[in-house]
Amino acid sequence: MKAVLEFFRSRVALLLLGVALLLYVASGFSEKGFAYFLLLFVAGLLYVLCGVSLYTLFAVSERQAGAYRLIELAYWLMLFSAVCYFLQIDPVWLKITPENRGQLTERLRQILQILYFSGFAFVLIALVVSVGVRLEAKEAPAAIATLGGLLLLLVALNYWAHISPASVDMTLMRRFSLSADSRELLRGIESKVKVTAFYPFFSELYRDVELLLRDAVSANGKISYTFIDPLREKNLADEKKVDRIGTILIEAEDPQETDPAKKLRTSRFEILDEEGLKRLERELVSNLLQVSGRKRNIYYTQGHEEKSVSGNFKEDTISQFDENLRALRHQLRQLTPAEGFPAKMPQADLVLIIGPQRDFSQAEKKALKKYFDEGGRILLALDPESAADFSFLLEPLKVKYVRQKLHSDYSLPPGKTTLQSVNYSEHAITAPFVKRPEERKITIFPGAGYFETGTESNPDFDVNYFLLSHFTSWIDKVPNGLRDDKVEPVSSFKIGLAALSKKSGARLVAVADSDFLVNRFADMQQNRELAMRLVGWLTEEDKLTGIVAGKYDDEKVKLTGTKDTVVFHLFLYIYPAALLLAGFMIVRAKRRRMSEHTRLQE
Amino acid sequence: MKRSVLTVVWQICRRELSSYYQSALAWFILSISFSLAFLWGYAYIRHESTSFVALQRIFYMLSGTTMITGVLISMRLIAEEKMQGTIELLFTSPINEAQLVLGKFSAAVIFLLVQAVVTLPIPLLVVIFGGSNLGHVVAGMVGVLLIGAATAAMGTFYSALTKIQLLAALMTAANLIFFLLLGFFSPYIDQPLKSVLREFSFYVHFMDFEKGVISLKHIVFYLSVVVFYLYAASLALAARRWR
Repeated sequence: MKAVLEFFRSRVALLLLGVALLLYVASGFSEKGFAYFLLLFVAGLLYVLCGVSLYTLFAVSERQAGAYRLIELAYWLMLFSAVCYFLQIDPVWLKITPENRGQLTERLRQILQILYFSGFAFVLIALVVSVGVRLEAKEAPAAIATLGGLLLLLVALNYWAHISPASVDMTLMRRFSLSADSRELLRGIESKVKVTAFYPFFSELYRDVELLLRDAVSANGKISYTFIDPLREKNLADEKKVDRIGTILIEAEDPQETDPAKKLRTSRFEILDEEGLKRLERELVSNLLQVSGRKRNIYYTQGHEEKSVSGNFKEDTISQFDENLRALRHQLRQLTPAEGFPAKMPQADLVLIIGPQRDFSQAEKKALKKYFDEGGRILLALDPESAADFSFLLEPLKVKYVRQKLHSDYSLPPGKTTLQSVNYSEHAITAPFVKRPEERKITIFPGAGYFETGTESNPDFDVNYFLLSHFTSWIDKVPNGLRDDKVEPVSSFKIGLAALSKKSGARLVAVADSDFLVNRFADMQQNRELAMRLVGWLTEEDKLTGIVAGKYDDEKVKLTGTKDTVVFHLFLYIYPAALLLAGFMIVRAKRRRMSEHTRLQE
Repeated sequence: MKRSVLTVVWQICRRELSSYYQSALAWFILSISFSLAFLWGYAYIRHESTSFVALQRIFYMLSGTTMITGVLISMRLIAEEKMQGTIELLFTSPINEAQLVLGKFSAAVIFLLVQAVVTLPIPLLVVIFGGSNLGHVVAGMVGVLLIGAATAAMGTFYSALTKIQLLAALMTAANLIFFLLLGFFSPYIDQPLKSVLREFSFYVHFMDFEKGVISLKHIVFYLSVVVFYLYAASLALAARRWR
């Protein structure tokens, strides 16, 4: 019995180390089954025995000693760390915290995790030091306690730096920072948004994406982000229904939605390579705004043979355009006169009039005009062969729609009346199309008319002709399909206009063709992007439409010819040799001085 | 005459620095670290890399050479004094443990600063011939110095534990490798330990610097490592009274 007691007395530190090891092994069990509880029981029993030994087997004189104090410190700290650990494990944490866990709850949990981790680390240090400390060294526990305090302070400081990201982007064109416009847009987000990026930890894109996400978090604390490795954390990726590396998922709860099934609004996009990184800012900001922003009521007019969302010939419908708008969480409705058009017009945030073939009734025109005059938003996509007349909207702008198809000598795909546009004016809608001439984007307009303007203009409106046809376009004045140089000169025609009322804030976009929106042409060149940017501008997301893809260009290092040879030889032999030579001379001078000194002493 | 703390620290630092530069090892380290970093950087420049990638890789290599230098120069800081028996002589003078540790560590950091200046022409090559900017170079160099200082602090601690220089170097290297590997192994560990271990990784904190971004959290991390190990080193010296 005496031997057993002596064993416990002399090896308390070792036994406490054993308790720490058992707790660590138990923490690795994902299933809280029999083995888990058995390990906890053994660790608890051993811990109690250590406590009994600590307070019964040591003489009073021994209790004043440094080694004893260290073990005592480690003993109670281990209990504190264990309590912190058990408080933060899932089964306990989910019970003790309220159901709507906020950011504060998450922070508290993180603090508990840091406390238990630092606590156990400090227990190990104290136990190891206690082995090498003399019994009577009384200052040791105080020194170790100070070290512990310092450790805690440093951990707290690091945690603060972790939750308040601050960084300076020193790269050319600040490639890892959001633009001022993006930051301002993100600051306006009022609900919590969670971004989950699916990248392996060792992926090069991981860091790049994280840097931009960190900047987004610093712009608005309501945004949070996390990374999931779809290869190693397959269960977490499956939960989010993501199986592709490079997916970025954005989730936000809609506070106004009462249906739990629809409460979570999500959006996702992919950034798969270095080139894709250039559009990360635009994609991230627009998706964040989509899931957190207000839903827009967008109405299509129907009943005048407009382009339809469904139909027998899918290629001739605008179903893709419709899907893209629905993906932005907009509420879309088709309004026929029977369904309340134009009476329900005032409820609309935007009215889409796409390719009507028949003219609107006078009542409808009056309602549309009233809607526009009161600050409404209208997208007008017209066809030259249509009978619909929208001069009641265009005349106040001093613009006339000419119903004559433009021809072009330069078409892709081939077709005399398939226009190609590569000319854009400076406008929020076409910002990414014109900012980089080397990446000039092409849009396709099959069978477009054009807009004619006089010398007059209406001072109440800002009218911008953002879309111009290719400079090889011409009007077939002698209708034979062939261009006569004398009477049919090539030119660039106005085929799109954006008008903004200075008084009411009304917005109108008119495009001289509606076919660019149908499925057959929607995916051609940049038609889809143009369509979405038109809607973006009309729904007053100017800043969002103004964000362009990354502007930075990575130059290659141009080291060729003589420069290359000089640099190579200079830096490979001459410079290191010069360093060695300088060292040799300094060391030799020192040795000379020393030998001189020795000689003088002799 | 009572001397101020800073004067004592500076005198110790100056004495240590002069002993560095009067030994062949220091010049050899400077020359070799430059050659290694240049060969690595030159390989990237020649492989048609963009200036951004080339700078990133050059700083990756410089962080490696700086860590090795940190281990090599810190191993002798206190261990040599112990081996030669001059440490007891030092403590008979009015110098406390903290001043000694700070003075020795400052000398190591100044040496690393000189090494950074010596290797500066390599990233500058990319700036001159690749159209990159100086900001990226500044960020990279700040990172290199911080990771070097953290390594030197770690080396100072292990140098205070033993009088055998090689053992101090081995222990520093082992600790450094442990810290580096934490980042590499963290993806294989479950949360929340995964995040905690990742935060301890030396290289994870360097990644932003090599990309040209200076982040407060990484500066705080490296400075915390420096403070912790320097305090532990002065405790290790004070512990001679406990044994």
